Amino acid sequence: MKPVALLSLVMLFTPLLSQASLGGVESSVQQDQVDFHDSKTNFYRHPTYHIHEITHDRLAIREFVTLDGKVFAVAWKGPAHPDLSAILGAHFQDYKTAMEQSRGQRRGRAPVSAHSNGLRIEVGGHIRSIYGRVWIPNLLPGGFDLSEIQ
Amino acid sequence: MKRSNNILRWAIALSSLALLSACGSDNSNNADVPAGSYGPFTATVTGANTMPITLATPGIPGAYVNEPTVSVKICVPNTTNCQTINNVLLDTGSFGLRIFQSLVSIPITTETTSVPTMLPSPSPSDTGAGTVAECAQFGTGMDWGPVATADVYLGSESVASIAGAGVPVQLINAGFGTVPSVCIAPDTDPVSAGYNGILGVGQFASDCAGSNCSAFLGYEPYYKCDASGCSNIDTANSADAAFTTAMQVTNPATVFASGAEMNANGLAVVLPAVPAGGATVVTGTLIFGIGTSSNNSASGTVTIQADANGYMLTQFNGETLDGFIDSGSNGLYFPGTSSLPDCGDAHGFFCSNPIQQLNATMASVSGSGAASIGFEVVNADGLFNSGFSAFPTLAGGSAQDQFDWGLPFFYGRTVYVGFNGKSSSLGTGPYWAF
Repeated sequence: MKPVALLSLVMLFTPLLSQASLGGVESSVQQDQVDFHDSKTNFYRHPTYHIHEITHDRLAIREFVTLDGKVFAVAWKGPAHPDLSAILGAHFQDYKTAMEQSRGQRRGRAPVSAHSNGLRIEVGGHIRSIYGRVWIPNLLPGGFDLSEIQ
Repeated sequence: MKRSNNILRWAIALSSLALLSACGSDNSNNADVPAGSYGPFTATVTGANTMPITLATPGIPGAYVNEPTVSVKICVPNTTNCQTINNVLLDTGSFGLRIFQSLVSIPITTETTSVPTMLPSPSPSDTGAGTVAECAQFGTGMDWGPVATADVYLGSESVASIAGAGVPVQLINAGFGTVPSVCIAPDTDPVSAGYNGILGVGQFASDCAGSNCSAFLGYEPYYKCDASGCSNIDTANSADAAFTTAMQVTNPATVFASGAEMNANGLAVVLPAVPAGGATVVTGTLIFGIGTSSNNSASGTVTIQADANGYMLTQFNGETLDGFIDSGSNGLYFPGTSSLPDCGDAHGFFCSNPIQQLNATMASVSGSGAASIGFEVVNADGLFNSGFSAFPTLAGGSAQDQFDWGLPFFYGRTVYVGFNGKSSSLGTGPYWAF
């Protein structure tokens, strides 16, 4: 990647890169919202968790945070995947490995459902409009409904 | 009109006969898997606006189950310097032709924001200044590589070309330039991918449009590459203004040249019915145009209108989901239920016992078109153990809000794909009809 492009990504995601995201602490998400230019942010409060939502154009990223401040899931939906190396933080390599190995008989452009090193991954949709969600089962709040992650 | 319908019915009736005669043969000792049959099962429609569809068979290196393929001829624009690429995945869920660069032997030219580069280039990393490349992000899986222009022949006589200059196609090459970090696990070679290319002939002309492709935080799919690497093309930036929408990888079935331009309003995928337990030799037909000739008259169908993202509504198990019909997905993929447990061996598929008879309703996002669809789900481990490769009853799990009507939906049907903004007797795209 050319230095210019790398620089722009670093500027966008500095808080995430420096403090991690999935599995990381809530302050990184809040800082991310402050620094994420030209985007809209929303905050949703639930009895057992919070959702931080960042939208830009038609891409929406949601980060799910426990009451004690740990990011336990992320979900995204839009015309393209966001830069997952930033959003998944330390878990990005696990994600990459899972995407390389998970296909088995689910082929062509079938959605992926994968486990990797304590992560659960679901990615699908079709070109122009895709979604993904990744969560850490061990960090889920008690009684959490997985269908909330979207 | 009637004549073509009769031809279709005749083909399907022949297939049904084959199916009946196959019922006595047993394919598996697994009591939960119904009988399959080797075949052949065929649904043949003739005409200059058609091309055969062949289900990949297990002998092909990298072949997988429920993989519809076609052969596509590409040429240096306006010449007879041509090459036929076989084993190309037929995908109604993407837009544009993509072929592994390693298979291309004719000298087609890459697009550039400055000086053109001749391909095949001396080495994959030897990119000309400003060579256009794409990271095509499918729902899952990605393709990386430069964009070149070629005449694309669809059917025996019809060439797709934009203003006589060919159609932008992607040359899949994970070693080209510097792969951007957003391009995760791109296809590397035909055997591991399972195909030599992808023919994306879904409802849209290009894989990104309008605001998707400009000023989009650097996630837009197109890049410009030179010896030092690749960086995003930002069409909002005057330096990249030379990159126009017409230079994007383009669904060739939307840009037929003069003489066949009436067939650019949509297409039909025709596949025969096959046994619930599977089949091996299966052939069908891809027909270009809707209501434009005697072989695509499209009567007696229901039209399901899609939205600007290519989704319709699908009601299943009490939920309303985003639905789409995708020949490039090799199963039906939808949120599981308690009667559809995940397989142990074939993770991601359903291993129900006994066979599940299910129902879902497709509905238009606007207008009244709706259809109730009954379908069967057979234990996927049992199907895979049968040795067959075409399964109308293969299904697996998907995220909570999507219903991916993959290839199993196509068996025994003629499925029309109406292109965005184009009209036919069935309506104005984007739509599906069957």
